[in-house]
Amino acid sequence: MAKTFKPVVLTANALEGGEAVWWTGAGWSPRFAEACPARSAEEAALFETLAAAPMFERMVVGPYLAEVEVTEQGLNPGSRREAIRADAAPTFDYLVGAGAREQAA
Amino acid sequence: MYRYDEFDAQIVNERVAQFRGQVARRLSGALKEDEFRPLRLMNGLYLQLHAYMLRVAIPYGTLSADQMRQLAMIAERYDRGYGHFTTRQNIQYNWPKLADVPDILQHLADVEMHAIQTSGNCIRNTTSDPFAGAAADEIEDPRPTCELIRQWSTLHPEFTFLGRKFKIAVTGAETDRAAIRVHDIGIQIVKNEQGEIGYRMFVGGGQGRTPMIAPVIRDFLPRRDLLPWLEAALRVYNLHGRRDNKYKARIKILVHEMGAEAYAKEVEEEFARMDREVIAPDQEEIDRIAAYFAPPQWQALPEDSKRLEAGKKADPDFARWAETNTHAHKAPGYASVVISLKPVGGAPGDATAEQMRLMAAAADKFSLGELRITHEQNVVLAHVKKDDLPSLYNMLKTQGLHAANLGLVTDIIACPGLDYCALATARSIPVAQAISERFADEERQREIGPLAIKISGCINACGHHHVGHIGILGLDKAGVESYQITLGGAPGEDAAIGTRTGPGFAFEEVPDVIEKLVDRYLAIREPGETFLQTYRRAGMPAFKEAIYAAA
Repeated sequence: MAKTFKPVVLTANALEGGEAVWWTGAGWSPRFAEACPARSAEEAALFETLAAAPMFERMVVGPYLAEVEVTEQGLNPGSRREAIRADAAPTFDYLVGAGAREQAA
Repeated sequence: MYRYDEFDAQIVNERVAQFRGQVARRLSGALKEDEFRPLRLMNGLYLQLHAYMLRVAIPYGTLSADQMRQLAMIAERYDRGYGHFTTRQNIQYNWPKLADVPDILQHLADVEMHAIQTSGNCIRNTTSDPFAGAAADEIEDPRPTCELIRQWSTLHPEFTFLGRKFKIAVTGAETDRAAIRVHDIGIQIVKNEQGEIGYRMFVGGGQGRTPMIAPVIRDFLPRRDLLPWLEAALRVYNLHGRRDNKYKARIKILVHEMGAEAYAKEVEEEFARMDREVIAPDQEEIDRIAAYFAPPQWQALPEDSKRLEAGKKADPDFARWAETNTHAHKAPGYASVVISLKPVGGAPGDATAEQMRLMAAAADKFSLGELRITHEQNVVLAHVKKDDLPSLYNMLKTQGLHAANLGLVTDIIACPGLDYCALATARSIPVAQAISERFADEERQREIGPLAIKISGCINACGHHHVGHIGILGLDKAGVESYQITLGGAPGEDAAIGTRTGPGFAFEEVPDVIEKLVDRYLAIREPGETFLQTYRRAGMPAFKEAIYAAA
């Protein structure tokens, strides 16, 4: 039985700033919502080829394919790791000073 | 503390210039990533989930107030206003931009700091007892030994391309506050029957996916043989260690597979064969380095402090902190203070720039301008007069640095985990926060007593969970975070690797599980027993049944 193809996006870290970026079809964006999903194995293979493009050496580091869920409202990340990357921040209030709670007390 | 001479300054400044060129060539495309990556790693620059991460070396955890202020400036100017102190006594910045890193390294070089060899397959920061030079039970300050090793290992041409990372730790006391038995090489300063100072050498410890306690490979090594022996030990590793499999490449695998006796024999043969005179430092150099760590002139003070006692009577919160967060000092009337970076609900080991500046000011005012980072992600002021403890406490309070929880259930070690780290399989910091909030009540914490919880967000064990009294390992089980619990780990001279309790738990379940373990301990402990002691007496079954439903 054929395995159902899971849509994927092409993602990497931006070379200069290190932030997570996604291939939009026209360039790299730090916004996950702008990612362009590959909806077939053939499109995914194209993304693989694209990932190896020499011109990207000056833009991004370590491109790879990440699974996504495609819904009517848009894309959802396919794992917690990718969800955290899509949020571009830790899951807790990391900028609150370590002692802020103590000070408030 | 050690001060750079002209050679040291030249090395770090030239290193910055070299890296500046490498970054420029990477940005221009002249260097590809697979060429650049090993170069940036040798300067401590990782690429994580959201950003680059720069790991700055804090040699054996010791830094000056001026250096701490520079770290604060870097956090503000080049990062997001905070830094993270690590389980190897270093500091990490989570948000630097690639083009800024050469400037950051120059700012570090300006205060005699660097990020050399904080990553990569080389010898890393040599870590030590945060109470070095102060502890009442110390045979000798381990830091001159650490500084010798640092100089020997920095840019060592033969060991720049090891099979894997290499970590060394040194303790100057029999009580091991440096976890030497879970390091690649652990060094204990000892005295022989003739009263001579030497070293007991442990080789082949480690954590990660195959935790091991290091065997003793040499019982007594005379002082001047240290560097040649280390060289021999590394040579045998470099020659025989595996390079075919990243997960079998640490020296612990080699010692385990060869057997400690066979490994020891090879080291002694190499040691006998090598030109030791070329490697061993002469006495002049040993003395030169030791002089930097000469003990300060202690004031003649009575052992007890009236001001301290009065302060404790006046403020019960202060009394709690003074009892929990101080450590016995060799000089009467002094104490070593541990500043907790584990406030309830905080990210363990994080400090804002403001907090760093406050700690620097506190060090200047109360502790001879020096601070230490501990491998449990706290900060030590080693030489505080007991008379000054009340003033110090009030100063720490202004920045929320007064948590009275050293060694207690909320003094949690956690790696950055899936919130930051590209290697992680699960979140660790939010687990620490949830546990910490569950046990926020200070009286309850003291009732429970010493209990070291250590959390790792993946099998690489950067949170040292294997040597936690309670260890928590976060894994990914079919896309869902699953936390394995281990019990009975210990990092010190009674080192032990924790034992798994059984199946893992979901993220939401972990605080309940910890609470059940604690409640079981409180129910069965004998008078005066710590959690670890009760576990060692009663065994796993008593605790296992508390957290798993009866079959």
